[in-house]
Amino acid sequence: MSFTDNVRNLEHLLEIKWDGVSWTDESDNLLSASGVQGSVPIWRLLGGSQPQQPWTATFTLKNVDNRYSPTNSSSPIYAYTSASMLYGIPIRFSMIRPSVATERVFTGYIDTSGSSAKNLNFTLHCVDNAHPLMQSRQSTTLYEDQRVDEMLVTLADLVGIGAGARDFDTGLFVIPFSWLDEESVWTEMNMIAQSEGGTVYFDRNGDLIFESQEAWLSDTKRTTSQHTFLASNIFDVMTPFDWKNVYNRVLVQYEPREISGTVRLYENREPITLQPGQTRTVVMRLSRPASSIESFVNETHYVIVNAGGSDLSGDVTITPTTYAQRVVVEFENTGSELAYVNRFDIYGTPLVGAPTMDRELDAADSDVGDPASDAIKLLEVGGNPYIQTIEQAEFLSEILRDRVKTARQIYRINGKGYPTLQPLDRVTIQESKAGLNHTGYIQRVSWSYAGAYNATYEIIDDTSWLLFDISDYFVIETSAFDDSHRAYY
Amino acid sequence: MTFPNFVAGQYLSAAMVNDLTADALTAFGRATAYRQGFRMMDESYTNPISTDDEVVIWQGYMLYKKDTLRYDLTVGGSSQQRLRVYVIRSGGEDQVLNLSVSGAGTVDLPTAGFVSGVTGTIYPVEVRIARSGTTSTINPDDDVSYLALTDTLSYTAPTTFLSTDVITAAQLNAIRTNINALVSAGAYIPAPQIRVDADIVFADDTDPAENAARFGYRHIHDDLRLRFNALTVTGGEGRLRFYYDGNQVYTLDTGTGSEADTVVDLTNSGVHSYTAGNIYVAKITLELNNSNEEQTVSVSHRQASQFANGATPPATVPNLSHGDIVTEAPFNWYGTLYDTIHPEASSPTIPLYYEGPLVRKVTGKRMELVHRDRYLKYVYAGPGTPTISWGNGLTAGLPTGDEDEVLVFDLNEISNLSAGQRYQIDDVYCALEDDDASPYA
Repeated sequence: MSFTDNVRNLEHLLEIKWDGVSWTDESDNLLSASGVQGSVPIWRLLGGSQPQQPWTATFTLKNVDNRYSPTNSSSPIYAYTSASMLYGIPIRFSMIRPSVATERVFTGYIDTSGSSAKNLNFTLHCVDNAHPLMQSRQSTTLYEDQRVDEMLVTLADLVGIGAGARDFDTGLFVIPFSWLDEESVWTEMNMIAQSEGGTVYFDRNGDLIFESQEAWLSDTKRTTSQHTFLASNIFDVMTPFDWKNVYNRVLVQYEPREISGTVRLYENREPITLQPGQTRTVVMRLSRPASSIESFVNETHYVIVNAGGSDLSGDVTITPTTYAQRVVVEFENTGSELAYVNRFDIYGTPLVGAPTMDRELDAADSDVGDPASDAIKLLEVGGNPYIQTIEQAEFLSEILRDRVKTARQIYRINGKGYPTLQPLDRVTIQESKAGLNHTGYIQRVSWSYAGAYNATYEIIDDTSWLLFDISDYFVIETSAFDDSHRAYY
Repeated sequence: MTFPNFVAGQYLSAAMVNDLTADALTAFGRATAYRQGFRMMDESYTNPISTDDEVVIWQGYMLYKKDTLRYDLTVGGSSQQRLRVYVIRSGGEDQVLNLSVSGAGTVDLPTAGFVSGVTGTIYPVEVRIARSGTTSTINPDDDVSYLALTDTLSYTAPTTFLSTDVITAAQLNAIRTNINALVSAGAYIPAPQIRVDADIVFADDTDPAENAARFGYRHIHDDLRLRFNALTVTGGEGRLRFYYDGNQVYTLDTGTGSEADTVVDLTNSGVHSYTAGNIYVAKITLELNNSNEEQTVSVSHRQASQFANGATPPATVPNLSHGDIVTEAPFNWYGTLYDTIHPEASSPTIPLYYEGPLVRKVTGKRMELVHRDRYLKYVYAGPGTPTISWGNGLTAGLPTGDEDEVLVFDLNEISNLSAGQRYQIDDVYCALEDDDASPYA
């Protein structure tokens, strides 16, 4: 038996890593918990320029003894709560079916918190493991021709998410140029994944997951029903149609880029003064991201003199650290005179972009009519700098068109919860009163726990998500040409 | 590069197949691209040399994109003479060839001493005669027949797929590799300059016996027909004779106006046979009917198979959409196209031309080019402003710099200069088109 069976007699485990090293069991203080997993609708994952919302959870704890109050100096965890004000502390939550299984429901960090004097409790609002990535702004060198998953590995390594804490599909596309310039790692990761219609998220165990567009065909959790919702476990089911998000024209923007010839990318506007013995770091932001920059040569790229104009370049060491769109230069004046860096130019080969291009596709068989004769309802996807080629734009526009041209059946199931189910899982709904025996994909989970674990699942019907059965598609090294198998997008 | 390699177990993506098609059509386009004639490189030097100095007998430029230099040089007259090829770079020069006897062959530039060449750079090249011994005077009889940058392009017979076959990732990747090799090699077809002034103004030449070459070029044989298009003849009446590999293949009696485009069918040249890939000289001679007259002739060449309405790629060009049934046909099409344009295939009908002849340094003459690539790279002669002329009397100034400086002009800035259109450049030493501005700003 597992959590996908009828769930009774559940216990819970709430742990917080106060000291950043060891988990402390706070289960006895938990009054209630709730959370949200996933963004809606899932077609917004295709080519978007905004990160999907990370999973969140809220835990309400008993605080009779002011254990969690950061101002309570007698609390045994005062050293940690006062130092951090509970911000950014790791937290995880599991449901336990005694002697059967323990399943993690949430892994993340405390984001905000507060107490209620009236109720003598303390509430923790938490965000999944994307939390530190949302705060982390990084700069990188310019990466050329990186496959989507390769670039994600680069960024994951940058923020310390090692191979054991991530699971990436092989990407379908190669991105010509990628770089970060003091940008949010989480936002960029999302846009990179979405540039090929994939998705990136932290799962309930806290692992970073990248699923390519092909996961719709190859990932077992999307191809095989992970659970059947039966009437006996459903409190209520609603079946609205998502008419609002139906379109008969889609437009995907892409931004072609190329490396240009050598140009000046930076010039200092005012002298940099260096006291004798002083080390000074200057961030030089380039006018464009650069594929390469020239080495710095005295009198060609810079001039360093004393107040009288005599050359002091021999007294100053220059140590550059180069990123795609900035160079951090450390100047060290080892001499005994005040030195002036009167000129400092950076030359290099910049990345230049062409005007944004559009790839537009019509759906003559749309539920809102043929755009050739009826009103046009346009879905525009743009602003993703990792969509740089017409091939990416065509791929995304065709997928999008097929996903949004018809109204989709939505099922909102309110009932007993199953901790193992996550967004994008394929599930079955069997409810005779509503006449349902359908399969679909979970878009969003809202769960709650206060002695019982319940959840509301928003599920999108899988009809016309894939226009053909998965077994109809052509697989390299498996399908023969005379098998009548079909091409994917 | 947009897509990674194919892998076993992957669902076949229509986008990836269509990307292969796009690459294949790019290679086809390069094989059929407008191939403009360039001035015959023949340069003879027969003056006595009595010093130890090297004497420059040919000056030109190479657009450095490949490492292999093909040469055809004649060294005659004295065992003590040497014929040397130099590549001039900033701050020095590299001798890459030093011949004591006549020869034709190839040399690897980095191995020969030209190292750290920057791709896309225009480097000056010089051919010099030198005296190696103590003889007071040598009497050379040397020719510079041909210099070009070239590439190696291997041939792999494409797989023919049957309907019962299961295609492998390796086979798909091999298709891509083969196509991309052609695309890469074809990227180095130059759009060479020609001189449209003095070399082809013939004056007061009524002696048919002379029949000196008035215009010509070296040509890698790739087809049984040549096309001389846009043949503009002005001035007095006369007779043009077309020669190929020394054989007279066509005669045209000219009037005093423009002549129709002329196709010279080499299959009608009698017993002569030609080998694809060999280099032959095509040339034109002129005999005028009357003395004290002159004619101006503008000639260019392109491959016979792509003129008129242009060449057509093999049918049926693969283009898959989501849900299309996948058959062997698209994958056999790539093989068909590969064999159509690969010069090493058994019978290519449109063999890819992938050699870039070096262009001669020109002083005070007008260049003519046919627009294909985005960037115009030119060597500034100075001191005036170079001009570009196109269309019906339209002109514009080009950026200036220091003498011998290589400059780049983005031809996209001329909105009404279309691909395939002729245009002229004045007051530069050399002008070449490139698809990449790098390494110049």
